[in-house]
Amino acid sequence: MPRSRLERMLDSSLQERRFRGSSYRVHSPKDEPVGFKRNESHRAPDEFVSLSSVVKFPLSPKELEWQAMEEEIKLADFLLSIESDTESDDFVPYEKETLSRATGFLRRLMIHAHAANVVGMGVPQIGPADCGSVDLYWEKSDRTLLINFLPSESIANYYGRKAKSEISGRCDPSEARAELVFWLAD
Amino acid sequence: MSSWPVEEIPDQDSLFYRVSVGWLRPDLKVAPGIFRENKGSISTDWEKYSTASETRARPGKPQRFAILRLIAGPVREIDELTVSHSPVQNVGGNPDNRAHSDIFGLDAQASGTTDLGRKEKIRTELKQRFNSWEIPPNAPVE
Repeated sequence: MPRSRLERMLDSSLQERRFRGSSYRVHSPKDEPVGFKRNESHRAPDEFVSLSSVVKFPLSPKELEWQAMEEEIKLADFLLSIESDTESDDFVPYEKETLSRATGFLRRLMIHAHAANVVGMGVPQIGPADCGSVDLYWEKSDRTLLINFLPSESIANYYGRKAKSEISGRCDPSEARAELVFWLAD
Repeated sequence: MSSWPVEEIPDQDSLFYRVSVGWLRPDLKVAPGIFRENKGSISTDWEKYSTASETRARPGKPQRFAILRLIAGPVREIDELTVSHSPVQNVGGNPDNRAHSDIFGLDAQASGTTDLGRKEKIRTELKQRFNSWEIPPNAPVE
């Protein structure tokens, strides 16, 4: 059954109101909603529909945690510019490889956590330690974990403490360590 | 040869630990990474013979250093750490320093698998006990 003129007008009006509240717009002098009051033939060849302004949904807890981690990793580049100081006779420069081992391990840990739907592992501070080694340090309200990555060696030493529980040992930074993930987030 | 006697440092006394600003993260907070040995010990100055400002200025360019106050007793409570007064006098190339004191034990060699993570444990404990600056980084020089 053909729709009445009134029905078509009501439907069009409803859709137009929906688009009016949206940021999904054609870039045009009149900034008209996509598909309304405008023929394709009127659009300039270089005119485009902007997708960057599509309504953004809030980030999930996983995405927020990942984003915070990436910001910390970016911040950690300062280690590479640390120069010798007068307080250490045996200063060893911080190497990109050592930092990469630490940040790569951190990413693997986070991926492992998120794959297991564990959120809340938290983001450690990445900082300089002695002899060119790099620290990852988590300090949460009830627990700490310190992992130290040695230069020129594919090992990391760690120690963690929380109420009535400690962990310590040595690990290969090229692997994700499930026990550390769960120890941090349980 | 030092004519200054080696004295026993009471547990309640403070030790001033000089920290290079270059060891710090951009947030300038105390972190486990600042606890490190130099020539076999963590080098500090005993408050009996030095102020925090004097410790900061001793090597020159005090603006490049911050000072952390450690307390001898809580340092000794950490496994394997010892505190010794070790005044420096007439040692070639080094300025005399009656306040100089050493904290030994951070870098002791691991004796077995049970010791893995030992140094990280000590640094964590030091950080948790001593985490506020006596003289913060970038503080004006007195």
